[in-house]
Amino acid sequence: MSRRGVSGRSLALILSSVAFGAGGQVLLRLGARGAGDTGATATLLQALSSPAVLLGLAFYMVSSVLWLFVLSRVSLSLAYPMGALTYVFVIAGGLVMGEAVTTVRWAGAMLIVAGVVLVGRGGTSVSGEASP
Amino acid sequence: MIAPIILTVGVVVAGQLLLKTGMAQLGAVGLADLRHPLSFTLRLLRNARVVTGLVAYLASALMWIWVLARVEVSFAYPFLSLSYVAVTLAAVIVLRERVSPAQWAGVALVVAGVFVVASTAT
Repeated sequence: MSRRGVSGRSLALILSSVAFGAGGQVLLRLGARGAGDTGATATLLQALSSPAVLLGLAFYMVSSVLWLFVLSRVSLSLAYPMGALTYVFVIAGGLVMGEAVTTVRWAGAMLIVAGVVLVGRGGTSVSGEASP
Repeated sequence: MIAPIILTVGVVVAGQLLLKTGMAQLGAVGLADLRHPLSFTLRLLRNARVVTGLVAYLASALMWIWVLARVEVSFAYPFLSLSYVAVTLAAVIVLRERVSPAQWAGVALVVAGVFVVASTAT
């Protein structure tokens, strides 16, 4: 459970999972934001016909599988802070897409990142990482 | 728009708990398992928790796409951090694990951060 015991392969797995996860979120939003407001089914069908959404889902799946590998081999005290980087990357992606990323929204995200780091340092087997 | 986001997070957490406990039953998984993808997949699919968790994951993905058709990802995504809060509470209540004061402080920071992000609704 020691941070020093983490292999380069585990670090690569974590960073890959985070990168695919954040990239997937941005792609999902990019493709879904044009979907109409004509009911849940129509919205979903329209969104799922978008190449960006399909690519985003693929990224999401890759990220999830990589994260399963991570959870099976890495201490949460390392996995949590690294996983929390996803919040930073997703908001940066939103900024690039022209979203209303205000200082307040960044501040909220930073509180969340700090909180996630603290939760991960506790030393129990509590696991809360999730990235749809 | 906040209620559907919270609901999606709930399904995500349910799926995550099922997958985590199911994978724990299977033991450590690595790249070596991918050399025998068929037997590995069968091993996964024989675990009821993994299968149910995967169904919840699929459902949450569809719900999430619906959410992202309506709100900015930089607004919606931070709400997923509530999964840390939910899983910590589940660990205390269901698994009777011990949670340190630092972890409770972390939970409080996450909740505070989500409230701050929620205040930026456009």
